[in-house]
Amino acid sequence: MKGLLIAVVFLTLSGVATAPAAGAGRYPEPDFESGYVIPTATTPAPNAPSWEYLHLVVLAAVLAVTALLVLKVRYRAGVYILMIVSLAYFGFWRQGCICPVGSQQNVILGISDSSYTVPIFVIGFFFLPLVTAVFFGRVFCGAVCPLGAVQDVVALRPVRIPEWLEHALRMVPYVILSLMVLFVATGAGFIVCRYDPFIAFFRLSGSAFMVTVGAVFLIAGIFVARPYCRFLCPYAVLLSWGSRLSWLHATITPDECVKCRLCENACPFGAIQKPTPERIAEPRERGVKRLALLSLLLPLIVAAGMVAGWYAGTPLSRAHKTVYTAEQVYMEEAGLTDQTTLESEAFAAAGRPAADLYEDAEQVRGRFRRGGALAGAFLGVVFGMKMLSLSIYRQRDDYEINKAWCLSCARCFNYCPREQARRSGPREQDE
Amino acid sequence: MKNDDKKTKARRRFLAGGLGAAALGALAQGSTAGRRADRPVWQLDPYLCSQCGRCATECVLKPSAVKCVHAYAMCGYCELCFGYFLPGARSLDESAENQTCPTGAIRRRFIEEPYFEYVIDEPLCIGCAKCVTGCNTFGNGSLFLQVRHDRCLNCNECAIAAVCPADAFVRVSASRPYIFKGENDSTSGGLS
Amino acid sequence: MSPGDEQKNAWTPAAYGAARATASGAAVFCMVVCALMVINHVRTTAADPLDSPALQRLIAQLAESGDDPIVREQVRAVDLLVRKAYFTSERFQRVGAWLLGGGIAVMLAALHVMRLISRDVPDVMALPAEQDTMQPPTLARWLVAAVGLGVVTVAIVIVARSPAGLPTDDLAAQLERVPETAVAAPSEAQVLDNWPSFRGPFGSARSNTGTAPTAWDASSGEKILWRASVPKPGFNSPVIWGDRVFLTGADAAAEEIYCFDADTGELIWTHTVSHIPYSPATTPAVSADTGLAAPTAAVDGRRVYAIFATGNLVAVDFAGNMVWGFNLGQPENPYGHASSLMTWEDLLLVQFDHDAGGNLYAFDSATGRLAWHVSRDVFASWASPILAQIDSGDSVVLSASPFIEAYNPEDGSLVMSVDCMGGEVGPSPAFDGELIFAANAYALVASIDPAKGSVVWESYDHLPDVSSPLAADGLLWLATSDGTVACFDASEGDLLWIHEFDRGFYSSPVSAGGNVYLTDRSGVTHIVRKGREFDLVGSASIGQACVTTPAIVNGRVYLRGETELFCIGE
Repeated sequence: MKGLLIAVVFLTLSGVATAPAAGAGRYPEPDFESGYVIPTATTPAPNAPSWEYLHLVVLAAVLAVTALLVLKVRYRAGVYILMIVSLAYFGFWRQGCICPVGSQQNVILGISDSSYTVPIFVIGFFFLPLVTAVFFGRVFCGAVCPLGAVQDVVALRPVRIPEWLEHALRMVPYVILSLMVLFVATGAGFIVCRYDPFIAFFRLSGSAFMVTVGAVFLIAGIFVARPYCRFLCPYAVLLSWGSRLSWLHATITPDECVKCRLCENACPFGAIQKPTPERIAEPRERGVKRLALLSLLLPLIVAAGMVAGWYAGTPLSRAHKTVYTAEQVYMEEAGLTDQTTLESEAFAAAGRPAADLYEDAEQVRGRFRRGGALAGAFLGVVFGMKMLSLSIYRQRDDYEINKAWCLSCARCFNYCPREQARRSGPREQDE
Repeated sequence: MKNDDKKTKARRRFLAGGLGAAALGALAQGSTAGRRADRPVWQLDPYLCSQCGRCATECVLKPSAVKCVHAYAMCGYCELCFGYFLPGARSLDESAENQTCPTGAIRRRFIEEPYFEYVIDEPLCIGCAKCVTGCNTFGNGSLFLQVRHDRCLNCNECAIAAVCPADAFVRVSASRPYIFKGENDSTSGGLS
Repeated sequence: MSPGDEQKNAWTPAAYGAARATASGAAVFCMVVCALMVINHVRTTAADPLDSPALQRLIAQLAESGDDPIVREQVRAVDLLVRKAYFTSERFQRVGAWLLGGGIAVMLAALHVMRLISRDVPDVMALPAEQDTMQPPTLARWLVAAVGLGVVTVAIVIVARSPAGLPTDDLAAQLERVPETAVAAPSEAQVLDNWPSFRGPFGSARSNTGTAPTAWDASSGEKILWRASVPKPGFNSPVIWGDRVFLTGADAAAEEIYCFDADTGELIWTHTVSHIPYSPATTPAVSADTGLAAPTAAVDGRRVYAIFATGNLVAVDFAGNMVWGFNLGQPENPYGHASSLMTWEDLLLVQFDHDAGGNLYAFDSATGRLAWHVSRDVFASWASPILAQIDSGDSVVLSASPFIEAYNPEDGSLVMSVDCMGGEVGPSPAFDGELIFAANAYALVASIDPAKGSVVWESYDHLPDVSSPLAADGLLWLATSDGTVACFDASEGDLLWIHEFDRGFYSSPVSAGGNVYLTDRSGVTHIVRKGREFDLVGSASIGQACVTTPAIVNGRVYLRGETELFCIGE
């Protein structure tokens, strides 16, 4: 009876509805007689934006000091300490976002989505390491990037990866880079942030899956130094482009190479190139022929990449929320499935016509196809050029650093007898 | 170094190209520079929220940075609160078997006949939105979820936003970091 | 590894040993913490403390036991326990993360110290001999090509593995296959083309879509297009919109709404009513011949509406999802609530006359919001509302004891009230375009002029108890519970003929294509030609008991027997 009474009062007062958003004002505002003051909910403020500018200044400072330590002072221990400081500051204290690796996506989003404005400090985070690379090489990787640092500290027993494998594996970041651009530009999200293997460690909290992936990377990193930096990181691609053309770059020796071979295995990242022998094992005309053939093949490779990318666009678009929701809604409406998902339920609750959703999804698919074709073309160019460059033999007289691969960590300096001589007084292990 | 000249030329070319691209980017961004000073932070639009429960499980933090907020001014101060009580509640009191909240994070206090005040105990709230569903469905909708910026790490891509089925997560300006119900109409959600 | 040069660094072996001990200790510590964290994680993901089945079971048990204080105490104890378990496991993971982080840091530091101490001078002699001929990087080239091909292969594989059955090419092109959801209220023509409520369009019991079969037999399957079993019992009749047939059913466990395909009889969906606040925890006491799902649903092309003996009123869309729902309060009704629903424009009309008072509610059909409500000074009624045109305006006509009343559905204002009815009213009123008819056992059959609000004629014989009168083509048909069918002249009230069948009628007579369909309680439908003399066209059986009213649309008869729904047609 009581329930009935409440229900009837309730009904006559205001009626009942379950339509969300129709909720406001079902019950009138109470008229308090006891002097009760209606409180307001608290609104704790986010960190002030000035913090981000502070972080930007710290980034610039650490980059500058690292460049100085690598290029001028040539002091590995200093670089290492700076790396630990960066790891503590950008990693564990600041807990990650935003980092230069992730900021690439914000910049792409700023270009592709007119409603998103890239904040100045994000642009700063994106450009500072790149500009530094153009001038001084990848000093960001060497001592600033917390993702690199956390791998660097576990690199205890690095094994040397054969050069041919290194060349092949170092193509993967280009694939990641093009997928990253494709996903951001089509609005599917920031996959590089989503699958960041190390941020969970900095936050001491994260999904079990990413913690496991991170742990696997770190354990692998004991033997394969910095696997993420070398074989996955998309920002490394941009940095290596910059570093290739760098104005000043770290050198193994402070003055001249004596070809003592002491540094031959010094680099755990495979960035030291040996001097080339005078003779080449293959007749010159064969090399020229191959070069010509590859040059002719290049447009074909690019075209193949484009076609593959175009067709892969549709299935890839399933990673986009609009598309997977639309497909689910379609399956439900066509009676192909009895299961609903949270997405289709939320869509039904929003009360939009399904046709709208299908149209949106079709547009996203179109973007994925066009973007996929571009990404495929880009990859075609990259792979083609790589094979061309592997067909051109450059003469090297000295032990030299591969600027694209060098992380400016300063490890190799100590191996060089000229470096030891440069320092005041030779040390005992060089005797 | 015999290659120096070539290198310098290449470097200059690259620098020019890079700086040109940067300038172009800055120009493209220039039209909205006025808003640039505002840092974007994540927030969820309570008018879009479908109370799917993912805020409790998908946040990189445990417990989630999303918690329930009470817009007291919208609240009916009902004795029978649909956010507080389970639909099958047998008596209108604070006992565990009647409560919607799995963590007991809503505190109920008698004000005056017939009004009761409901306060969210934030450290206990896990953002599961069970109370929000009840309040939205049968009540005034004064309970709703918000990203609490004293906890939020402001990830570059919010892990909840990536999977929010209602697309309720938006970047808002850090100077107006909340979208409260009852303060704006549903369209002026404070989007940046 | 040789631990450095002992001559110069006497402390080196000791430092190395200490570092090694530290590293091993830290490693063991990390492994223990890690294992504990993994165990804790697995345990909390396998059984989320906040979603404890034990607690759910206890709460259900509490509801069943009717608030047993012992169970209540158990619920509280378990609730406290699960909450403690949740917060403890959260804290455990947090503390564990810090401990693990610290342990790893110590271990790494010690390992680095060990490495610094034991660092070797690179042994040039151990390096492979220098080559004098440069090997072209053929392998690297091929491997780069292989990675490229690998990427293309992955692309091909994801294309090929796209699940079939999905419109991968053009979703928009598939649009016409998706049923369009109507938004506007149905027009009069649409209502007349369908069977949207109890006794058809406007509750007239007249089919407007031509002739229907006059002979069928369930045992031979003659003219039976399909038969489908209905999961839960209910004495409500089918309603039809387009190619969908809706029924409801309920037992003590659940209340359900069914949607059948009108062409195949396939059960397209079942909606189980749930999440209705104030839905009574106990099943209401109802009589066996009323049941828990006596009211017939109503449909308006957008949603189907249903009410049950519990007072649960729900609106469900054509996909089977609840649009809104609430409890009207459990009807205080000795037999069980039986009044069916009626829609008008954007309103749902609910006759809710029970022992605690008479009510007519109008709810917004899209939101369930109350549009208007009138309290009526009548006794409980089991009749259903019909729509009639009085003074060229629509009126909703209700039969209850003691008033036959008409209301303006616009705002609930009273249009007509005639004090003539008595008893426990089961039969719904009828309207033939001019006169309103109402009948009930132990009372009377009355013809009412709605314009004047007065009784035109009345009669006291052959009165129906459950079955509603049919007014069609100048005739008034009554079918009684003892098997008598009586036909009156509608305007004068003269008894034209009576015929006594073997079995009684609960089902209401329905007119279609010049005939009247009268289904008796054994499931035999007697088809009588509409006329001033008795002329039996035929009798046809579905082979099972039947108390519901047939729905006759587009040459098909839909009839719900005791356990099955039949579709009869060519």
